[in-house]
Amino acid sequence: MPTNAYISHAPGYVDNEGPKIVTSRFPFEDSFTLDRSQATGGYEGLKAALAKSPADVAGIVKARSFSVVVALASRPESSGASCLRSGPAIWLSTATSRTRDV
Amino acid sequence: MERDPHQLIEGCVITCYALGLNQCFLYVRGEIPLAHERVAFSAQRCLCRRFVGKNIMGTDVSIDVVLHWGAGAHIVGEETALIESLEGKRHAPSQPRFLAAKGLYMKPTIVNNVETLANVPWLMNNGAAAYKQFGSEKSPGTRMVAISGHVKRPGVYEVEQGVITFRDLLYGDNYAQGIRDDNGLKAFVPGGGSAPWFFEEQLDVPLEGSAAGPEGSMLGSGAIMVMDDTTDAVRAALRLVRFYARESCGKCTPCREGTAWEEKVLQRILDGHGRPNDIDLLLSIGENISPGPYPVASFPTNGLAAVPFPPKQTTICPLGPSSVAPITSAIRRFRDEFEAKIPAAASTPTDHAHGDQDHDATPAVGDHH
Repeated sequence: MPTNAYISHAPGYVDNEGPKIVTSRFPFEDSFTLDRSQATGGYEGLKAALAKSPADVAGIVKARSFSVVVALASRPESSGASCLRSGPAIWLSTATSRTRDV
Repeated sequence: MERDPHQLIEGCVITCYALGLNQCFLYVRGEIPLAHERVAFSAQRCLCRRFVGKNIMGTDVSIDVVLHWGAGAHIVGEETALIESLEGKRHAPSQPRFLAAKGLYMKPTIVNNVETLANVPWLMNNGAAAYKQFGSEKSPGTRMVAISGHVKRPGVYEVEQGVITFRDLLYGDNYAQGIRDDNGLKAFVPGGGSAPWFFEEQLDVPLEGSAAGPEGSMLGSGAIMVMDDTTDAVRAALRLVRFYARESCGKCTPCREGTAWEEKVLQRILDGHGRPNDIDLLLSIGENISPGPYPVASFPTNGLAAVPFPPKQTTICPLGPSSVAPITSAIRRFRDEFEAKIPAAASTPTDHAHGDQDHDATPAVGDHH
């Protein structure tokens, strides 16, 4: 995938010799692509998590004490467990709204 | 989100699975359009590869990801304001409530930030024990800090919590590499504009929330702003206060009126039109937004002790009290700079005609001066 076709992201990250947990892919130019993600162990964590029970996954995260802009909400119970609509592209809907009128 | 959106999406899906949730909302603020683009593109790719959506990776787990673009406001970082905005209402924080019971659309909700969720995939791959190798006992792991201002190498760094100190961060070869032009350090903001300032004496405080709190400040967002000794303290305080004055949502009166008033007073001091009681006025406005002693760093030269974090507040959210931080920090440490900018007795009527005579004497009738 040609990466030069994209807008370059905000500069600022400095690649030093420190530990890399969140920034492990940052030195790569195509760090944001799925190909780079999968080549460097992306979605392996998800695979590992799905092989465990939800309680075990929560236990691992709880074992490290953990808390701003992502909301995870449960579906209404009345709509049942499989309340997702059919059709591929509907799961992922982009919604826009005005949050500020200045 | 710009550099590694897949890490965030993976973290979200793992978290939803662990908590038994099947809907996830990604609220991306309006200031970062490139993040919008990349998160949307990445999420679409994940959908094609069955990493999100129905029957993830061939299992019977289905997790829906909804992307939501904010319109650009500082206060939506506050969780109740975020939920209000996500529901399509005005971005004002609501009365504090237990979101895990009544959150978005009055349904149980967990709100987490991007950095937290981005840690989850690594944690799944390497385990909690490996994670605890980084950082200190109290705060394991790493965190991102953004160093800006008068340093030789500003930037975003991933650092181990509690292991390194602010001195390492500001002067270390691996980090910011010292103050520009080898000037002296005047002050630095340790954790975003809402954090009370730190000074030279606090350079050896470890980079850890539990260590910064008793010293009178916080690590907050991890945005460290460095000021060298050429900085004008009044101007720096004004710049920070102006941000809060503009970002105030206007719901609580002390914040809505107070932040704008503080900005006006600071602006007139800077312009040379300050009034003799302006310093007391600033502190009094601060007292109305955040009653009681406001958290500040210690000032050993004057024998002033630190006031520990957090501040009290008369508002719903901490935005109003945040605007008091630069003012109290700057006035406590650099009061002389404020006083130097205020013209001596500018607004007190003086009796020039009588020269050195007794000023209490009543001028004669018809004595023009």
